[in-house]
Amino acid sequence: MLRMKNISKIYRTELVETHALSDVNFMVEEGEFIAVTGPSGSGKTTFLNITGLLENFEQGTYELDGEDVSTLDDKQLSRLRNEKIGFIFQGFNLIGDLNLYDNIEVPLIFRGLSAKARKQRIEESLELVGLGGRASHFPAQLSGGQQQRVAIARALAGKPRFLLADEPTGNLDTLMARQVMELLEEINRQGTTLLMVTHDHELAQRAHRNIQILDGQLRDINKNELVELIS
Amino acid sequence: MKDLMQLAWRGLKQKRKLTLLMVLNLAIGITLLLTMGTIVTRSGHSPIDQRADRVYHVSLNFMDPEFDRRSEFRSPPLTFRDAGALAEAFSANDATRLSFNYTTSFVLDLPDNSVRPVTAEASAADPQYFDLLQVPFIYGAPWREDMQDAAVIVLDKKANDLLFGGANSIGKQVVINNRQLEVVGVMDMSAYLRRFQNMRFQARANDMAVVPLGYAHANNLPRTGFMPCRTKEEAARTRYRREDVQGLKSAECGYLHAWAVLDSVQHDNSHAELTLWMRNYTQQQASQGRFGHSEPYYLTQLASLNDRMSDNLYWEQIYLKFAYLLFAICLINTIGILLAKNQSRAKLVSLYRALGANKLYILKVQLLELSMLSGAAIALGLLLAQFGLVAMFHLALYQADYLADAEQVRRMYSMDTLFALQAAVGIFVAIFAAGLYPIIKASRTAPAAQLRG
Ligand SMILES: Nc1ncnc2c1ncn2[C@@H]1O[C@H](COP(=O)(O)OP(=O)(O)OP(=O)(O)O)[C@@H](O)[C@H]1O
Ligand SMILES: [Mg+2]
Repeated sequence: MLRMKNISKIYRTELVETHALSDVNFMVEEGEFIAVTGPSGSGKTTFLNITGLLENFEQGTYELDGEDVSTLDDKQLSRLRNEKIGFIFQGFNLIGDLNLYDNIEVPLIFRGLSAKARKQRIEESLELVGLGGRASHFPAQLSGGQQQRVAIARALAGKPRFLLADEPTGNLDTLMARQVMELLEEINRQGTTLLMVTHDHELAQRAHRNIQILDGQLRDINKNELVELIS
Repeated sequence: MKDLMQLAWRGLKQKRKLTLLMVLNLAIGITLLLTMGTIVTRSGHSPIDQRADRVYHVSLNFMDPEFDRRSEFRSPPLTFRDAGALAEAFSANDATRLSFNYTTSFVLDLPDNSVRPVTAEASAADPQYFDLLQVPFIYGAPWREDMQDAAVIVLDKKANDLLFGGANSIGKQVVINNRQLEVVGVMDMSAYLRRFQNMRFQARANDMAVVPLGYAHANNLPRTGFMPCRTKEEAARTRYRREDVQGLKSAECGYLHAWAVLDSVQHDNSHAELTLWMRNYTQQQASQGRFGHSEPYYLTQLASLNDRMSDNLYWEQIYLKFAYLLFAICLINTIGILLAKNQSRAKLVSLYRALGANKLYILKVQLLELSMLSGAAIALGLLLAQFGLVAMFHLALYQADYLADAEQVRRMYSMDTLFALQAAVGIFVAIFAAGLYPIIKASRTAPAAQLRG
């Protein structure tokens, strides 16, 4: 469903140029579960942002469902982001002034769904992450793990085919992390393609496929290498 | 649209304090602007505005060549002789209706001394005077043409209230200088904010009574208005004013203000006729050693006097400029607050973008938000301005003497709907123009800009 060729990304500030990604080649098939690992600052978020159409890139080509994204305008890109992609951010990026219901509703409004359809989806996805009765709570009234699950609910409410998760368990304790992980696996089993960044190599092991980013370079690694990294 | 409204409303709720600050800030600017604007526009307003472009002040400049008119408001009134000649020339001309008056003042009393006497600013005039002013009558009517020398009087509502408690006083007697006059009409001058008839454009002290010109002359009612005299007459001037009407009639002193109301259809023609007459008359009189001034006559449109008057509202104009300045500062403030708000909101916008809102959508939401905000500010501003005007009305009423008519003062301090509407639209456009830059800037926020870690 996704194919990247020779993608590079350079951040330029007045003083330095950071080669956040260089010459990345990458493919994803429908239904895969891929875990991305790598040290801090290696370019994981950048990679995920580009994949999720949140950032543009300098070189290379990126095809999503056979469409070259560099030929799309802002409106088309926004639409793709809204319809095909669900994004779980490294911070939760919930809106503090809005309750859970309203938070999850935002992307559905952008899609132009009717209020009735929105309501149904919001309730479904809250149910799915186990926060059924708390639609009217505010993010600040929830624990970190619950907030993370709201973020997941928001990403899922739009029924995306492609879920991008940037350290979805990064802020959680082991038990919470397990629960969230199980949720994501369940979603993947139901057919959603999942690309997840994580620092946790044990969790990474549960993916179908592992890739590693080191200094902006991307490579596939096998489970054995992961085990070595753990020990 | 409903969704957009919902999102805009949520945007307003974000950083409520900044939103509130912005609304207050704008409302204060708008209040000042509307309050001052109302007072200035009101001040230049008169019930006969709609025909001010065909009402003319007629002046023949009999003065010495050195006479310095200084402004239109100092065009010399006519001498008795010239006024007679002018009246004579146009007596049969229906398209040019003339009216003559001079300003006087006297003490009004009742024959039985039952009320406190009233000092009245008044005019001595012909019956055409009421046609010129189109002043409404509450009781009675102007005196007839053939009653120019009769002992009759028209009272203003204010005087009638003081002397007769507002009752119908037609046929009753009033006393001026121990002579009785019969009341034939009660008019209502309260809407006439400025006394333009004697070229003074004085606010709030219009005629309290009008008496026939012939009667005023015969009874030596004092001539209190602007009365320029040629140098040779200077010595007798005070005497002319107070007692010597006979002398004044043949003197080179101007005291009769002449107004011409031209027919609307034949306006240009009548205007040319009047001008021609003035030119011929002054040329012909030149042989008698008169009209040596380089500008022998002036024909001044009331509309242009009104305009000039508004420009001359010195303090009001200064206040108005201040109000504009303050409003500009408020606008700049608004831009500042908007920028600050967007700064703190960049994260929200970039989240919206990441969740699939395109630039145009973001722009729309924010424009709607700005509209709601300015709408609220304008509404609040209008409300506060209304309060401000009421407060100023009470203050003005308190300062005014006991003769001031509350209605007349109130009219000066009440907002004109059309003006308020125009101002509201103008302000809306201004706020929009000012708010556009920060908004466009915010809608350019990249989707991922603020969402990292
Ligand atoms: N907007 C930016 N401007 C300049 N440099 C940036 C910008 N965003 C990221 N970088 C740099 O690009 C590099 C990759 O950053 P990225 O956020 O992708 O790392 P990461 O692998 O996600 O790290 P972490 O595990 O800490 O989240 C870093 O060196 C970072 O400093
Ligand atoms: Mg990261």
